[in-house]
Formats: sequence, C-alpha cells, structure tokens
Amino acid sequence: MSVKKHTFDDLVRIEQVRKIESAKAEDLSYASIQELPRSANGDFNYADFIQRLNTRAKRLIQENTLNDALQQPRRQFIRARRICLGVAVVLGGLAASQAVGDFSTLNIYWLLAVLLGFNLISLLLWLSGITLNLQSLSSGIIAQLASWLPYRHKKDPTIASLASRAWWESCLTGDVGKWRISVLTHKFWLTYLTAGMVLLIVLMLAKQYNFIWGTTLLPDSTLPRLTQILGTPLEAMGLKIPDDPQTVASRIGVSKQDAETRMAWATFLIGALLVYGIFPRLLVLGLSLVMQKWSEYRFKLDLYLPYYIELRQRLMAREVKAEVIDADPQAGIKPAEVTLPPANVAIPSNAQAFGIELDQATRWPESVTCRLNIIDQDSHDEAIALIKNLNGPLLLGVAAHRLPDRGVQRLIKELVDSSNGKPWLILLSKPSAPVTNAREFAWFRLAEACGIPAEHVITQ
Amino acid sequence: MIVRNSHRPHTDALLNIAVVGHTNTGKTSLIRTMLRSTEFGVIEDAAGTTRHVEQATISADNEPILNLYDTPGLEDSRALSAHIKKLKAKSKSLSPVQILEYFVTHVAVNDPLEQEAKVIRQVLRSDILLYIIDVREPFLEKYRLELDILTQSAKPILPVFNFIAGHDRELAKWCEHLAAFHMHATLEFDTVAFTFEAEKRLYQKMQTLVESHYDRLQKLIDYRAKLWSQLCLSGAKRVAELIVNVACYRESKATRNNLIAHSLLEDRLHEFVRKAEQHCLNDLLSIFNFSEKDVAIQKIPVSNGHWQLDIFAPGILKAYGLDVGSAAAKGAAAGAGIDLMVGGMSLGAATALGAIAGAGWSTFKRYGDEIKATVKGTQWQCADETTLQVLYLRQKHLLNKLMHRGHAAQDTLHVDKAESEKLPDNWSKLTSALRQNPAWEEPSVARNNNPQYQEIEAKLVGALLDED
Repeated sequence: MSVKKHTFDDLVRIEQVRKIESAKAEDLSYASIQELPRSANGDFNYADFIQRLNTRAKRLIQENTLNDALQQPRRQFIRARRICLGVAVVLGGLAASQAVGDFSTLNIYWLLAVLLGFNLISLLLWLSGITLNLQSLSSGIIAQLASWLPYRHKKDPTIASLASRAWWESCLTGDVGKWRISVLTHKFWLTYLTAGMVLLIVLMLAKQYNFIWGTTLLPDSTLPRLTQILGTPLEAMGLKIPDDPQTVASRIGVSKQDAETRMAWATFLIGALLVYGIFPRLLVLGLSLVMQKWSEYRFKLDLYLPYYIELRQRLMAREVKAEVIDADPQAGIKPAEVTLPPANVAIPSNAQAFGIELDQATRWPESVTCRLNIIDQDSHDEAIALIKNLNGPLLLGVAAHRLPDRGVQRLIKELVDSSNGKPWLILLSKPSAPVTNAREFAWFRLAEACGIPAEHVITQ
Repeated sequence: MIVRNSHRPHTDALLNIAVVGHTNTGKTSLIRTMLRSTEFGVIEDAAGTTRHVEQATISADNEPILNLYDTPGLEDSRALSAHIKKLKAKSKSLSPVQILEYFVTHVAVNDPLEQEAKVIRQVLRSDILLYIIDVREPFLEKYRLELDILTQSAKPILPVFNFIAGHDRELAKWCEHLAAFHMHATLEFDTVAFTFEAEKRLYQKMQTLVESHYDRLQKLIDYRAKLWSQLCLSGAKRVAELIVNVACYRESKATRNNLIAHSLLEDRLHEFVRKAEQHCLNDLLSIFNFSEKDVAIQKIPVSNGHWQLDIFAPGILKAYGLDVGSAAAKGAAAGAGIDLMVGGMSLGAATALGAIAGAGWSTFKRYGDEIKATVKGTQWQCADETTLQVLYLRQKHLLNKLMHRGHAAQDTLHVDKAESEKLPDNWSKLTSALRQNPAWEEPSVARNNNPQYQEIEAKLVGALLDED
C-alpha cells in the first residue's frame, strides 16, 4: 500500500472535470496542460495516477476559470442543508408549542408522542433501511431525487449543469451518498428535537405547568408502568422521576399538584427527550459521520471508464530506460549509394549456375541447371575448385526473400574473386515468399560490394 | 511503502539475459514484446539493424527483476568459427570459455568480426542466452556453427522459435536439429502472434534454468499475469460499455408518420452508433497500446484509426455470420421503434403491476417517461437488433485479435474467420433489459450499483472474454 495523497474532494473535482470534458471538451482550452510532465518512471501506481489527474484537473480548472461552476453545487448543498435545518428548528418549535397549547397543563405523553414519536418512526425506517440495505428507505426522499436526476438530464447541458450532475452523482449517490444523506437526516431530527426541547425548557422556566396524563383506550395502569420503564435509565443517571403516588396523582382530572411532582415530571420529560431522542440521534449521527468519512476514503474512481483509460495511457505511459552498453563504433556512418540494375537483364547463355544456401523449394529458371548448392564448408571448397577452371559465365543464384548477411557476402566475394570473368547474380524467388523492395535492395548492395556490376544482376 | 527498494540488492544481483541469434531473427522484437514498449531499439527488415549491445530492465511493480541485453546479430559465423578454431590450435592449454575470453579481449575495433565479438562479450557476461530462431530459415551450417560457439560459452541456452505461425513443418525440423545439440527445452514465442501464455512459459523455463532466481521470476510472472488480466478486463469492459451505451440509446419520435422527420431521426441514430463505435475502437487500440503499424500486421480491418467497413455498409452482416434474409444484403438497419408496451413494460405485466401497486414514486421514476409518452403519443426509436449484434460481434472479434495480437503470419494469406464469434446466451434478454433502461446510457454511480446492471455487465464481459 502506498500512502494516500489525495482527498475525497480531489476525486470529486476530477469527476466534475471528467463530466465537463466528456460533453464540452471543445469549449475548454488546454494550453496549460501541454507541458505536463509526460510520464512516470516505473510501473503503474493508483495513487500516482490520481495525483497526476489531480494536477491536470487543477490546471484545467484554473485555465478555464471553472472554479465557480465547480463549487456551485457544493454551495447549493450547504444552502439546502441550512434551509433544512432552519425548517427543523421551526418544526420542532411548532411541535412543542402546539403540544403545550395555551393551557397551564402539559399532557406528558402527548408531548412525548409529538416530539419523539415521529422521530422514532423515522429512526426505525432509517435503521431498517441501513440494515437491509434498501436505498430508498435509508436515504429518504432526497436520495430518491438524486438518483432520479441523472435520468432527467438535459439534452444540451451547460458546464454548470454538468458540474452539478457530477457532484450529485459522486456525493449523493452510492455509499458516500447514502451516508451523507443519513448525516443530513440525523442533523435534521437532532435540530428538531433540540428546538422542541429548548422551547419547552424556556416555557417551563417562564410558566408554571401542571403535568397530566390520560388515555382513552389503554387500561389505567399502562401509562404509569410505562413511566416506570422509561424512567429506569433516567434514575440510573441520578435524575429524580415521579414515583407511583405522584404518577397516580397526575391522572387527568385530579387537580392539585405540588411543586415536587411538577419538578419530577419536568425532569422526567427533559430526561426522556435527552435519552430517547437526542442521545440516539447523536449516536447515529456520529456513526453516519464516521461512515461518511470512511466511504469517502474508500471512494475510488472507475478507472475502467473510457475517459480514464485514455488519460491513463497519456499520463502514465511508461518509458523504458534503455542504455547502450557496447556501442557501435561505426554508428552514424551512412552506407554508400547503390546503383540499381537495369530491368529485364537476360540470363547469359551457357551459364554455370551455383546456388547459395538455397532450400528445396527455390526454383531456377527453366534454361538453367544448378551445378552445386553451397550450404557448408565442404560444398564451398568444392565450388571454389570448380569455379577456378570454369568455361562459361558464372551465375550465382540467391534466394531473394532471404536476408543477405556478412557471411553470405564474404562467401560470394570469395567466389567472385576466384572466378576469371565477371560473374552474374540472379535473385530467385518462390511463390510462397514475397520479396520486399528493401530485401532486393540489400542484394543489390551486396552485389556492388562483391564487385558484381549492376547490369549483371538479374531479378525475376 | 515507497522506501522499500532502498536496501534491496540491486542491479548486480539481477538475472542477466542475453538475446542472441542470427541477424534479423527478431531479437529486438522479442525484447520489445517483453518490455511492452515500442520505443526500445530499432526494428527494420534488414541485416545488422542493431549494431550495439543495449540493456533494458524488466521490473515487477517497480522492483527490478532482470536485465535484457539486445545484441547485434551473428552474421558471419563461419569466419568466427574459423577464427576461434585457429585460436584453439594456437593455445591448446586454454579451456573453450577462456578461448572466447581471449578472443573478445584481443579483437581490434576495425576487425570484420567486431560485431560478433560484441555478442560473445555479452554472452560471457550473462546468465542465460535466449537464442532466437527464425523457423522459416532452413537449418544451415552457419546456424550449427553459431550454436557450436554459443555452447562453448558454457551458459544455459534457451532456443526461442519466432515466426512460427503457419510453419509447423519447419518448426519440427528445427526441433530435430536442436535435439542433436541436446537442446530439448525449446520455446515457441511468436513476437508477431503474441500470446501471454507463451511469455509465461518463457519465464517458467528461465526458472528451471536458474533456480536461484526462482522467486523473483515467479513474482514477475504473477505481476505480469495480473496486468494482463486487467488489460483484458479493461478491453472487455470497454466493449460492454459500448453495447450498453448503444442499446440504451433512444430517440423519441412522433407517432404520426412523417417521412422527413423519420429519415432525419434515422440519420441521427446512425451518427450516434458510428460515433460510439469509433470511440470504442480508439479506446481499445489505446488500451492495448497499438499503433497503426501493429494494426496492419494483425490484419485488423482498421485503417487510419477507422473501421474499413462502415457498420451500416451492405454486406457487413454476412461478414459477421449474420444472415437475416434480405437484411443481409442491405446492411444493418438502424431503428426499431419501441413504445410503451414493447419497451417499457415488457418486463412482464406482473412486475409492472406489482411496481405500480407497491410504490407510486418509484413506479413513476421508472415508468414516468413511458406513461407520459403514451399520453402524448410519442414513440422511441432505438438501435435495432441486427445493429447491436453486428456491433457486438465486430468488437468481440477485434478484442480477440488484440488480446492475442492476432494470428497473422507475415507471408501467408490469412483469412479471418470473423464468423466464429458467438453471441452470448440470452442475448435478446440482455438487450431488451438494456433498452428498457435508458438511464443506463451513461455511466453513473447509481447505474453501476444497480444489481441488474451489474449482472448484465458481468454477462457481457464474461462472454467477451469467453469465460463460460
């Protein structure tokens, strides 16, 4: 593992640039990335690649002054979050004040139901969504909108709309999105609860309330028992909760209430809100924040996307470092010019033909019979002896598709030197092996080097 | 961590491999293939292209594993052999290796055997010799002499056969001759028709020759295998992306039959498919690091970075083994109209009804456009079945060629059997699922996390890589 050098924001920025580039590449100017250092030494490395993408993206953004457009969606999200939280404050306050009403009595369970009930339902929904991994349950309506957004994309996107789409996609969908939306939801409910609680405290500070409870459907003993059950953790925390007589005394319709009972109920109310509302929310908020950071940390670009594949080749092309350790002393010397043989040179009559390293498939022209095919030292010696007292022109046949090397050249030179007249060279070909121009040219060069005149070279 | 290399034994401990052989047998090509680089050395169809010894290092994940040495070709082995024989006669007390050492230290700069001396010098400095053979050549005395001299160096020799495609008979003959030199462990490694398997075997053979480098070579093999599978996966994913991209694409059109509007629409669709395919072609070539020259050697029907045959050209269906009656002569058509019943809800009435009953929002999200279109009386035009089929078959064929660097031999006419490519199972199911999800046209996190999409992509990729 290499050290991670990039942040989630870097990746989002790269994704935004990708989106813009894939639709609006022609609108961008690329001057600043021209001199981007071309390639890395060594093998491909993810972190290194991201680093390069990041540098490239930053330069492009600066050159094309995209920064505002790229920051826009983030700012919008922050604004939306603020509005959301503002709404939560208002809602929480409204809920509390509605539940309190104008009277001087506080219906304790009604109040708890209003403040904690919806909270509980939403918490349960969120929990089941997270545990069952249901996208729509865990991330709620906002994520639904977000996942719907790509579906609604415009036919003619602008740079700004592309930037926000990329931002939405990377920040509000997938794992990152799930936790980011979760954080937002928890913050919303936390604000709602806090606003409600603060309002209650303020009201209770300023006014005197009698606490009552009542039920229509449930048996009378249910709510006192519930008080006891709910109060157990509060008692453990050292808070004083209403005891049984106090509870019974607070049944709706029983009018008189002493200060101690009121105090106990108020403590119970605040405690219950803290323990059953705010603490769990804080807990899941913390969890979501951690998970958001973790999923941002784990967020990886989809390098299989064509865009990244192309950039990978461009930014990460590997240079092979090669070094010459035993140099060519004749490097840089250009070979001499070669005179091309005239076309349609006729085979001399009564030619004495010798083959040079021919294989069985090579065919001589009809009029010529090969006296000897030189393939090794013995046939070489034999050929020299034959050539020395030859009556008739010497015709050397070579396989045109094969490559003349220095060994062959030396061999031909020896044969030429031992012959009396001017020898001939014929380039033999076979149908299965086409001869390239370069190859023919190499043979012409060889002929010249061996002292065979150009007009003695026969091509077929 | 980054600093891990600092205390490792460095170049001196690396395995040194000399690539030797007669001139123009493809030594530099082999090294290029092993390095995955087209920048190393110079390759030309001429004798003595490489006239110096050049070193390059192969590494696995930034850890150097071995050094490769490109050497000049041995050209005049007969003269070399005669010279060495003379030296042997002069100083009988020297061992064969010492004679070679004496030769390389006493050769003059302008000696005709200077180039050969370079080769021998490098041979004496190396741990393994890769002796490259052009199997199209007959086994001549000069090759025998080359082998004689190389054996004298007392280094392990691994003969590597090049240009084997289509030359089985010649290959067998060479094997026979090499057996006389006690060389049974040979390797077929066509630098033109490259397969990853052959490269792996090359390293495995090296492992058996130098036990002490076993682990490092294994590391290299594993690393290369990983890279190779990633490369193939990248290619397959790219093709899958193209298929998805085209299959999900739709243009809306008014149901009222307007001929001009219709043909305009058809043109737009054609243009879209062409562009998408072209883009995919570019990406594939770049993934596999192909230059225009390689394309020509592989006999890929591409020139100047474009397909030679347009996807809507007549006759293309036949070239890919699709014979759909009269359509085969005309070429792939473009559009197939789909409407709510075909496109949107063919998932099955039960599913659709379930969805409607289940959740209003998600139903609207999914079928909103379809419902709206029905109300408005519009229809969609999307790429038809044959277009998709040709697209798939053509890309698959290309991908196969790129993955195997073709099987093209240079001197035999090779007919491409494009018809051998098969469509994946459940093809029509895949495409109809794609058509019903226009939102998948472009990559997005939401799409990539969708299990149905993942399944389709996996199926396409699997079929493209022939993993059944």
